Amino acid sequence: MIITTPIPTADEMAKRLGLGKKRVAMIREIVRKNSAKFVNGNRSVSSSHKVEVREKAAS
Amino acid sequence: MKKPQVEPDSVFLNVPYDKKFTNIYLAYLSGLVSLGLNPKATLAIPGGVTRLDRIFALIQSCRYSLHDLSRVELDRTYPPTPRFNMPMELGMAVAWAKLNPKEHTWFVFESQERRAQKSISDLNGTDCNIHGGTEEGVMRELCNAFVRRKRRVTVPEMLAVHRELKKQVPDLTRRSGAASVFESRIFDDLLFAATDLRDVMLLA
Repeated sequence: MIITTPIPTADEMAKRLGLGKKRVAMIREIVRKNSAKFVNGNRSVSSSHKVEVREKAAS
Repeated sequence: MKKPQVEPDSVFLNVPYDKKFTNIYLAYLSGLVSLGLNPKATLAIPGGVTRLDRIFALIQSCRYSLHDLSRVELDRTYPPTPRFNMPMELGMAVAWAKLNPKEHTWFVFESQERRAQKSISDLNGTDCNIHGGTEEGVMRELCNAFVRRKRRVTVPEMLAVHRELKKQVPDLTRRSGAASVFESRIFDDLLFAATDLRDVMLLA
């Protein structure tokens, strides 16, 4: 099955799930603590940047 | 009954909720999220007379459904019974897709080759996705079921997200006060954590 829908970012997903700011911050804190190797240096760029990265990758 | 709006990236996840299935369940969540899909489960639906209606509404709102029939054996608690929820929900999805072929597509996942042909012979002629009861198998079969035209995610990438998601489980369950990952209160947390990890590991 070919998927053609855009990929929702984490920020968009938080909105869809109805997660509040505090809960999002708590989950992100846990993720950054447990997965320092991958997410440290805070590579969590803004949604708009991610979209740009995806579009570049797609072209 | 009003027809729910179909979410084009939503996947109704019909899997057994038991402790032995935890890693496979998490593999489904991280795999689907890695593919840019949005898993939905019946965990948040309370019991009672309206439960069936709400499950059907959830199936109707999802563009895809994924039914794992791995747990067809009898359980250990008395009286020993097989689980009929998963085949029943599969039947509901099949009927819905038959009536609305452009709005719903269903997939059957199994751990053993040819078992579904025995346990649910009405599916003969349907290709099941056999994951072999492994997390890697789940990722492989998800990639066989779903293909992204633009940004193709590989099985090793999906497994990397999955491994990181598993690391979050103890803290997330503790913080949410959940006894297991099969509770509604932690489902959203797991989904968000998987999406956050995917963004950083695969998209950034």
